[in-house]
Amino acid sequence: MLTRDETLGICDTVLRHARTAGAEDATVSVRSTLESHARFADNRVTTSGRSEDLGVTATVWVDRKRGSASGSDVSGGALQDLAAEAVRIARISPVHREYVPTPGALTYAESRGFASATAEVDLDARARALGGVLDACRTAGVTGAGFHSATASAAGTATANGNRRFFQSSEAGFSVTARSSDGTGSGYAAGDHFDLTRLDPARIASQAVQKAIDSRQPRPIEPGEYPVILEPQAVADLAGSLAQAFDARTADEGRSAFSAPGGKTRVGERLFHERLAIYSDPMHPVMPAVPATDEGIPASRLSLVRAGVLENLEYSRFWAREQKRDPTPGPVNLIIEGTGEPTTVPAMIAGMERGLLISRFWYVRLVDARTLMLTGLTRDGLWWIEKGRIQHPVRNLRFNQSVLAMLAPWNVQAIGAPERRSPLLVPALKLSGFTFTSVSDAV
Amino acid sequence: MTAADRAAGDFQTRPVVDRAKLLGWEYVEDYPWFQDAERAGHEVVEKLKARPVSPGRYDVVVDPSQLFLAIHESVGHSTELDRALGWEANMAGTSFITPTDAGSLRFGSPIVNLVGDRTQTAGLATTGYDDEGVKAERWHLVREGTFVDWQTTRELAPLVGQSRSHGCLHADHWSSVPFPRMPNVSLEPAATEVTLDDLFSGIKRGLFVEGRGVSSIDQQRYNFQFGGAVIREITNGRLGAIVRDAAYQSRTPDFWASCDGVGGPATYRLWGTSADGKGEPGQTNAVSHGCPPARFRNVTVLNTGAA
Repeated sequence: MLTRDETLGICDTVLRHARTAGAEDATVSVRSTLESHARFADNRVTTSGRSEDLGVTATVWVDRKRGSASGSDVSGGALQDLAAEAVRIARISPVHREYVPTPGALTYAESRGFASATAEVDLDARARALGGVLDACRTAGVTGAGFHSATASAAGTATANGNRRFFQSSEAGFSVTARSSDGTGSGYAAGDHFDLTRLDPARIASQAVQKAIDSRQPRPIEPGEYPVILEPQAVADLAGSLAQAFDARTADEGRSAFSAPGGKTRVGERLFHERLAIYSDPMHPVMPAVPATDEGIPASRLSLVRAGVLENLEYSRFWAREQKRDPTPGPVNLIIEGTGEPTTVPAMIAGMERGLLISRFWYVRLVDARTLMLTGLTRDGLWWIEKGRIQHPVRNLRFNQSVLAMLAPWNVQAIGAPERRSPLLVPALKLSGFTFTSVSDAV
Repeated sequence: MTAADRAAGDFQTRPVVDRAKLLGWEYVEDYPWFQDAERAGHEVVEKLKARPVSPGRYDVVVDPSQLFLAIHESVGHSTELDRALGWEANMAGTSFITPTDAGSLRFGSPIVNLVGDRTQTAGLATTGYDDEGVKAERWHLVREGTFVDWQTTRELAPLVGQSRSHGCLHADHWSSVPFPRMPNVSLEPAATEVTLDDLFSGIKRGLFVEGRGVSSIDQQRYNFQFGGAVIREITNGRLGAIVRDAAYQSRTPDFWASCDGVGGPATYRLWGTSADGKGEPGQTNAVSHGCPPARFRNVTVLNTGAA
């Protein structure tokens, strides 16, 4: 990865070439990355690799017309050509109606989400960890497949108006799917952290193996509405769609779940359970993020939902200007947590009369943006609970469920401690109702 | 394209049709962009005013603009041999087809013939040779309703007793590991001319599904739910008004077994998707699916607005 000086030096060189070529405004970004991974399936390592890459992107404006060019060659002539190409494209492009001058000098916090251990992967340690995971799968009589990855990047941006920013970030992840030898059970577990040394592959694998064993010989149940407990992974699988709904422009323009009749928005309404808070915070100790938005706004804690009330929406620089307000300092991650004492998943199970325990969801898609109605399927672990105890595994089910209805004041019964599922930090949830529409034969 | 009734706080979206092909700039110049956009504008307004679908069982005629996606998800991915062997178990999933099923598994009705083809003109997965130098070819995956063959690479072919790969190895980037990727997978048309009106005729209560809507399918490619850009009623063989909030849901072998009509050669169209994801680290692949419109009987339809 490049250093701060190397990264911003390339940005400055391209900016200089862009100005010479006729650009009136410009932003140049440089990202250098390290990626390393090992993949396994059928209880053996199948592929592994390591790559280093470098990308330069210049976006320029000429007469309010925008052009952009990207490349990976940082030799002097190549950078000059890249800038000239961006300017040529701008000259033949239509006027950029949403042009906002690039930001000037701003102050940013230091990124907290970087660990050198993730950038410099200890390959021997990785091999030993995966060896232990594969042994555990063989010993348990299950077939394991999984993925161990570590990425790190150094990204810098400079603008013609004097903005300069540089951040390092990293991400390590490990996931395992274990399938029982009779083909009727499947379990999945995953973890991630910006610091590779904080990952525990053995613990993650143990969870997946146990789920595979416990999910054998599932029984079918009729589709319908059931009380459910969603493990954090299942909540994360649904929360991505919620994150996208906080955009202010779509709400203001009447094409969002947070639009209201009469051209208004639903900001200020209690749409969620009163114990729920949803916010973004680049300085969060467990789930930190780069302390700047993609547009260069310095990021800070941004409350979206407080005490169940929709408090803020996300304003881009353009839409903030149109609405005569400031752009929002995020979101750069999404944290969902409950106020008050969290409830553990075992306690949620113990308190459930009848319902389902859900490990995760798969192929989740937004069906109706008006209600944040999603469809998808359960996968890798679904169990029937009765009288406070897990009774038996259940065949997978397809759901059609609104996220807004799911998190509504009347539907949330208990909230767990949030867990990291990058870029989310989400809790387990116990819900009064969740709607399933058909049975799946898939294991 | 989205139309909003801001007074009522309501809106509907109609995806503008995208029809990617592996062709030169002349395709961009010849493509009817404005007609597409104008039609989408009219239809999204009609969709906003449309009545919600009544859920239940319908005979469904699926246009190539949506059927290509159903083929991609239910046929393209289920016939990948690496999935059946568990090599994708941690991400994309496995398959309801097992490695010993070729030649015996009933996949659909006898009129269903599906081919893998990396030689098809304008196909996004068309090539001369794959990433390990195997010459591109065309072969049947499903013949007269029976699953007969897999998508293979040189590593995979011997595992099902074959001496030659079907040429499906591909990497999307210099830094990506080449691995099995989907060829163009297409539904063959009927031998004789069968028109859309022929497919509509005899349907008392049906729906005609056009364009790309929401798609979701399980990790073994059994249970799926597909929407459409525009869905119209068919009543007594005649096409009617747009309905909103409709999606059809089925199980892959049941769906293809319920196929009792496919369009003729003149109705065949090639559609494609430019971003099919698979693998860890994730790779994307561009792939085409050709098909005529086809009719499926007694399919479950949901009202997704009320689900």
